[in-house]
Amino acid sequence: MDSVIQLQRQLVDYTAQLFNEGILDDQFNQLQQLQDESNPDFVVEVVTLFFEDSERLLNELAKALEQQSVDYRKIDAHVHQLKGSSSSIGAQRVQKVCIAFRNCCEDRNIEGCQKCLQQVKHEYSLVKTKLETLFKVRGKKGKNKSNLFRMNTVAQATDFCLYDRSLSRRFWQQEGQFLGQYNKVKTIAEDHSQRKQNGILDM
Amino acid sequence: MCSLQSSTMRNHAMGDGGDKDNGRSNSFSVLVVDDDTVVRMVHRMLMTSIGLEVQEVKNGKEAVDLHHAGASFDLILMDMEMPIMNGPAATRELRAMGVKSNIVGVTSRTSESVHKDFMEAGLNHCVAKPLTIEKIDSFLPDSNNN
Repeated sequence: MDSVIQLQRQLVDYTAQLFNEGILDDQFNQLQQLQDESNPDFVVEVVTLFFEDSERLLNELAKALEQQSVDYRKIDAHVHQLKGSSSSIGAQRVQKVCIAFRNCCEDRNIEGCQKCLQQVKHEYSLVKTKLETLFKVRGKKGKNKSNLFRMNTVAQATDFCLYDRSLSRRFWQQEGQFLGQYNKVKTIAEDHSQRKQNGILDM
Repeated sequence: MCSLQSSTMRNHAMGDGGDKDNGRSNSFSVLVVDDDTVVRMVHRMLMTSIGLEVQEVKNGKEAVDLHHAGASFDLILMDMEMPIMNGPAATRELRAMGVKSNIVGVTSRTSESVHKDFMEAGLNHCVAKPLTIEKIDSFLPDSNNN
């Protein structure tokens, strides 16, 4: 039982770090919330789709910027798509660079665009690596994959009691404020860790 | 105002309403209109997680064609920038066709004037991407918030 808790703790800590560094935002949290027994692979699937989509867009962008006569409208359209999909999965830093990228397009600033492309590639590969690691750790647990994600958030906060998906969902829906809830949950989880560290909790 | 006027259109055929925790017996039908696959997948999941039935199309023209073919929806989530036919154009078409559904614009453009222009095409409401449970709460009727 202890190694399972360890793994869960690792997962929570790793995920918390990603949020703190702004690599992922609240939207990713929401995707985890949406995953359930009838769609146990939702997060992996949507993120995989995002990887495929992004890689295609990044290739197109590189090609477009190499052209003799640069088509800024085309570049803008690609960046717009990347911005939309990155915001949908919570890849906050990718999204932010896309905003700057679009400004460079508007100004028809080729150097700015090239710089932005490098930046967005960097941020993209960062979030990709982090997410792949996250999924690998998750995969170690094997079955109950969806429960593991759910436990990152609400369950951790309430002493692992909220395995009940419908209960956790109702909890979230009633509150409605995901970010506020995440921070609150994080504090509770931290407190939980602290108490365990101090030997007060015995699992 | 964004009150839904679609009780007559409500589709009772959705079988797994019992899977959801809110115990609603009615189920809304939603049309997701967006050119990005990732966005469509996320919006679909959001909607099905709260018990709504979803169909997806890739651009405004497909949305209009669906309606021409006789389909109707309680809620339409309309992206703004799409190829072939964009959100404002599709919204205008649908309104001109007499579609009374709740049409909510969902756009990654955040400027107020952009939202305003889009609203003027005939939207009931306009929100910025990414779509969230909280934002959905703002344009669904109160009975769905339990």
